[in-house]
Amino acid sequence: MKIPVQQNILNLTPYTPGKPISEVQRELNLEEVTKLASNENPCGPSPKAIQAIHKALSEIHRYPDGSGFYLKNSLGKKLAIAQDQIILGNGTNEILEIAVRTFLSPGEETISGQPAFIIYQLLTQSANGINIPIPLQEHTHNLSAMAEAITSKTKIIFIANPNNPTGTMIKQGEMMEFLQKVPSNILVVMDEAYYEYAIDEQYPDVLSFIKNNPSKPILLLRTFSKAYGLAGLRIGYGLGSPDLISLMNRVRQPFNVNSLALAAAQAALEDAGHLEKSRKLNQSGYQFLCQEFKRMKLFYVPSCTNFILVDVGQKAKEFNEKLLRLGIVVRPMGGYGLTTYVRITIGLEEENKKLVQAINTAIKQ
Amino acid sequence: MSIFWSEIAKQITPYVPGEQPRDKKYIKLNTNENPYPPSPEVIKAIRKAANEDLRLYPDPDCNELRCVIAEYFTLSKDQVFIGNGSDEILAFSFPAFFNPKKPILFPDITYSFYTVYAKLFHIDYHLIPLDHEFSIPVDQLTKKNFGIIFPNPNAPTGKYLPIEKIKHVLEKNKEVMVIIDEAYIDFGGKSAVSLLSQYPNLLIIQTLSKSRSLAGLRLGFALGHKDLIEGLNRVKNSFNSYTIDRLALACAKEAIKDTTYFNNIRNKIITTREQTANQLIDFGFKVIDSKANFLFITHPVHPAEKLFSQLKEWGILVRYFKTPRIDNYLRVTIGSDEQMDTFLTTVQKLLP
Ligand SMILES: Cc1ncc(COP(=O)(O)O)c(C=O)c1O
Ligand SMILES: Cc1ncc(COP(=O)(O)O)c(C=O)c1O
Repeated sequence: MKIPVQQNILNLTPYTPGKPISEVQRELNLEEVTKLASNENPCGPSPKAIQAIHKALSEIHRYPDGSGFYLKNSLGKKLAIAQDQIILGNGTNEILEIAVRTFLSPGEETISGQPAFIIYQLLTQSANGINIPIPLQEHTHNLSAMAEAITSKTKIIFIANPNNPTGTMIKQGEMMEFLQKVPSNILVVMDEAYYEYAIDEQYPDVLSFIKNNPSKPILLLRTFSKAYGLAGLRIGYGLGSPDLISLMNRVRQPFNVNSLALAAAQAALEDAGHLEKSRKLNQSGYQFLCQEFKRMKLFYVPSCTNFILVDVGQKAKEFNEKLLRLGIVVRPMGGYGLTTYVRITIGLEEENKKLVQAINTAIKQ
Repeated sequence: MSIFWSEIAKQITPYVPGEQPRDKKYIKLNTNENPYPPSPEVIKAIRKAANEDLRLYPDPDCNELRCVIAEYFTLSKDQVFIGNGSDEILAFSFPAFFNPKKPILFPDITYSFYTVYAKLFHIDYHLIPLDHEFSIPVDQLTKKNFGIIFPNPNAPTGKYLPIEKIKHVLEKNKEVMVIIDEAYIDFGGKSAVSLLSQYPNLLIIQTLSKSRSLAGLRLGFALGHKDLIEGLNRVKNSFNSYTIDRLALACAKEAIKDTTYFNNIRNKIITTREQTANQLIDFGFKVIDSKANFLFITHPVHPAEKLFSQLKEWGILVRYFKTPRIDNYLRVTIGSDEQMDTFLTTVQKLLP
């Protein structure tokens, strides 16, 4: 029997995720591997999140609270937003998926930066839509070009701010102008996965824009995978107008987020101290690495996130192999058309030092 | 807001899960959960895995868990797919195996997710009416179709199709996908896993939410020919690699491996089910023969909807569907013996 997989699915080249540490260790027979590849928080999650998991265990045989009441309650208070303006997902990745399934019909277009988070493209294709990639300008989203690319078929515009893999951001003034300009029949997905790391005072306040412009369809996405150190639990959230959220809830599976993730995320959210510690560590790591890259005369893109895009001046794939043998995993960016670039997650102090040493060695090889 | 939402989104009536009220502590017999906690080994594994490694993304291929499940069923690893609940596997199966304009078949009274997903993915479908005893009329599953999906035992009836009948369906449908949703198979039914080697078009979906007491963690798995599993992987990896969290991966292995605990718990539930059914029959209920962890019941004089509200007032939640044909039935999940005693005494009090 020929399996009747739909053509658009067959046409996809799936996303290749970063390798788990254990796999790298096994393959290369390495004692110790430092993973700086998937923009995870080197500080780990808040100890309060771990405690919350232990506490939630006694109810694990029950389905999770499908409405995520308690987490939404905490989010609502923290962000001064109503619960019906919040959707929870099995990672923000799932909320992206739900948004596309809810709003994109076959043949319609999405616009996204190139390169940006690759899932935007894949999702569009998997829903039989057409993705229009708009090249970045100086490694930053080119909002005017994105606005010009709008056609009568455009349904969704994806913006990662800060952007992955470049780490760059659009500033308040430019963003507000853009959001005002986009017609109200187009959904803007504002992916703020790295929001907590973006401490620049010019970082745009899209949440306030959503509150003040309820007629503009904007979906703001954030995650517990990055600064909150909970990538392993799979939980993220989306914010938007009640209409928008309620439509997406129709497509969402009722128990999409597991109960331990709900409990841990709520505890993590309430531990402001841990978040601050993570941010500080990231800041000092960033300064250290930038200094070193300058010393090594490597071009890098200034970043407002927990990762840095670096031009290593040779085939990224080969460079990556060399680093792997030295026990360091980074992300080569060939797949994004950046053939000599790697994306490096900022690690702990010792990890960053080990990285710099390894880069020094690898460059000379 | 302008009305630009896709037609599909507008048409979807979402699946409404059993209620989870917060006003007081209820005895929850409404969502087919297991009343007992998972194996102590499972709890141990979660406690161990709840550490700072949670900062790391999980293994997107779920390799270890797939190996354990494969071994349990004597299959190979590439015949196993893991999902964030069997709900997610169902959600992937529709676009992976069914096509728009090529109608599939499923029973008229069944897990309501099938309709939700068929609509979401533009899959046409024909409903096969259950017979008057709520059995799936197997002969009707032999008519022309482009795919079949049904649960065994069926939900919300609990009615089970013996393996010979499943075989009959498969014999008559060798050219199309047949998906059997075995969410409740461990409560007295016989899985069709033994038929996998003969039928490369058979996909079996099971869950850890019911017999393995892990509804909160969201874990389901699919078993089938490796090409079918590849189809599911394609769909999954086309938009989300990391669907299964680290804690689920860490503990599910233990849930599968601890067969002593598993058998203990399911036998306990089966015993409680039979005792409860007998009592209800004594009270005058008609009880549909169940091989699941719930009973589907109706009373000749006392209306189901009324009993449902009365039970709620007494702090007991059961499930009532205001759906034609079954709107005088209640679905009652089998809880612990103690919970069922409370349920039975309350019911007895409420009956005229
Ligand atoms: C821009 C962006 N959005 C979303 C995600 C996915 O995050 P989550 O772990 O919440 O699915 C990532 C992860 O790398 C990302 O870089
Ligand atoms: C027939 C059937 N299939 C699948 C499911 C979903 O189970 P899971 O918890 O694995 O998503 C249920 C849950 O009630 C069910 O009744």
